[in-house]
Formats: sequence, structure tokens, C-alpha cells
Amino acid sequence: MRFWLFFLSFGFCLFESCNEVEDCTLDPYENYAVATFDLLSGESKIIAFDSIILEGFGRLPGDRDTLIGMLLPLPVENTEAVFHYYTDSSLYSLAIGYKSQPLIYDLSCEATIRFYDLDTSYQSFDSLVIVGSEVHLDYVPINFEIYL
Amino acid sequence: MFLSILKSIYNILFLTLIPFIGMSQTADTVRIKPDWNPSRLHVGIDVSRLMGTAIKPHKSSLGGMIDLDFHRFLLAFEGGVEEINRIKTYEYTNKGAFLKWGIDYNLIPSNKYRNMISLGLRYAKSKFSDQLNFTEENPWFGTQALQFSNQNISAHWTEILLRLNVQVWKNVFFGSVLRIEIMKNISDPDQFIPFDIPGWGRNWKSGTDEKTTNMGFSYYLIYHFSLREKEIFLKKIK
Repeated sequence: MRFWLFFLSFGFCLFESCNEVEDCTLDPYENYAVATFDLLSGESKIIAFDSIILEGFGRLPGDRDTLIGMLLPLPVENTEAVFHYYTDSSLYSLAIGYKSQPLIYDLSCEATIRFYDLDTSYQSFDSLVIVGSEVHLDYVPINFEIYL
Repeated sequence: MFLSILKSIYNILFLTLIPFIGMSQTADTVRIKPDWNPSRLHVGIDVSRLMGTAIKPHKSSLGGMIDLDFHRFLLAFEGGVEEINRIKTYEYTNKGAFLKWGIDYNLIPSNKYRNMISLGLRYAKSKFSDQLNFTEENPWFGTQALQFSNQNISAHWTEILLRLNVQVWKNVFFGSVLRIEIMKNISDPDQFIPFDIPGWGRNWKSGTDEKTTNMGFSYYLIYHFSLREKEIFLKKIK
């Protein structure tokens, strides 16, 4: 009898021990890409846009703030997001293509979206470098470096 | 690392049980002519799945097995259905069925109680659909209700098994199976990588990575149907 009890409980413990516990605050996925603005002149000038428009959604809140970098919200139902940056004298555009996929970081955490394969199909800045093609705060906290 | 610890534990258990199961064996060996005619049929129900259904409210599952002996080999089939419905801050449903077939090799054919320790290989296939619903709070777009689904996708993989069958009463046996699941392949999911695969288990490791290997442990309650009398050689077969 003791043998059977041991045998049964052994398997059950083995099965249950496979359940890992994860800290949800470590979830590295966000619903935006990150761009920083680096000036070609090397001056520590702060950029200010009059407005930033995301096509299909309109003007983004907080777009009048002075910027050294900005968050680029990525709509999950699309595979491309087109941003227009208006200043006093010029208009810049940036079209970002991406793939998205839902995932559960851990069963106890909230479901989230992973954005990956980030690429630019069009941009009108002086130059742009893709630093990280996946939105993942642990791997690469910045996705695009934009030069003006 | 974890896999190797589990394997070591099971090896210890395996070695501990050999004296109980192989008590009737003697050290002498004898060469016998292989008897390829089937002599027994095992039909079993997966008790661990029944226990899981009773204990875990989000999971309902039923499984069974059948095998037929040919000399020291067994032609084995396992199958089952599984339904998962996790309701947390998200709702994930997964519904499907699986079938596994392969060969087992009996390591102790001379056991007078028909107890068995066997090594086996299985090819497994699963067909299922799943769906994920959740809401996302987004500072730009507000609260979004999102829905993703995969319809009629299939997965296949290979399993290496260590089985242990012990007689509990007359023709009733209790079986335990340790399985290592490898070489998994999922056929093009429509919208997302499934979190569970019926017959395989959790497909999504905690964190961010898909599981490439898995380990399972299950119990069977087995009934032994004798098709004909087969002589048991109480000496080791050479």
C-alpha cells in the first residue's frame, strides 16, 4: 500500500513541479516602437513638432511636447503604421511595416501582443537606422534612430 | 538540466522497482523460438486525464490506449480528446483530439505476473482549433477588444516512452508512462502560435519561447484480454 501511495504521489509531484511561476512585471512586450531623434549636426537640440498624425487614427496626444525621442503606437489590427510629423516649415513621413502576434507571457499574466519584423517602407527624414526589429524592452529598448 | 534531473529520478524509481517486478526471474538463459502470434490485448483508460478533469476546472480530457503483443513487441495506439478553457484576464479556448501509434519493446517478457517494463516509440498527431480573446488598454487607441483564432490546425511529434505495467488484481493492471516528446511541428497557425496542443501539453514556455521538447507522465488503468494461452518462460530469453 505504501508503495502504491509513493508511486502515485511521485508522479503527481513530478507533474505539478513542472509549473513554473513567472513575474508578470518582467513582461518585455509593449504596444509601441521607440524612435530617438539624433541631429546630424551633433548639437543637443531638442526637436519640437507642431503635430504628429497617425494615418487612420488622427493626431497623437502629447505631440506638441519637445522630443528627443518618441513612442510610435502600433495598431494591432494593421500591418503598417504611417506617421506624419509637422513642423513650422516641413513635413516628415514615416511608414513602418510590422507583424504582430498575441502571446501570454505566463498563464497568470495578462495577454499581450508581440510586434516583430519591424521595417520602414517609406521615410522622408535625412536618414533612419533600424536598431531593433522587435518591440522587446529587454533586447533593444530603441527600434529606430532618426537623423534630421 | 531539469529534464536530466527528472530522468535521473525516474531511473532511480525504475531500478527500485525491478526487484519487485522481476522476482520470478532466474539467472539462467534459454533460447526460445519467437512467437509472433498475438496472445493478449491491453485496453486502458488514462486515469491521469480523468484526475486532471476532476481537479482542474479549466480542463476536460479523456484518453485511452490499446496494444497488442507480437513476441516481445507491442503494437500500441493511444488517443484522446481535450478541451481547455482558461478564463483569466484573457479567455483562451482550445479543443481537439490526438492519436499516437508506435511500437513498444518488452524488457521483461518472462515475468509470471505479466508485469511489464517497456521502451517505446510513438508518432503522434493532433488536430485542434483554438481562440484567444482579451482586452487591451492602450493610451492611444483606448480599450480594444481583441480576438485571435486558429482553425483546424495540426501538429505532429515523436515520443520516446518508458512504460511500467503492474498487475493489481487478476486481469487488471496499473500502468505508468514517462514520455519525452520531441521533434514537434505545427502546420501554419492562422493568427498565433497555440498555447496548448492536445496530447502534447503546454506549447508556450513561461516567458517568451515556444517549447521544442516536452515531458509527460501519465497513468493508465488497463484490462488484460487473453486471446490465447502463451507459455511464459521463467528463464531469461536469449
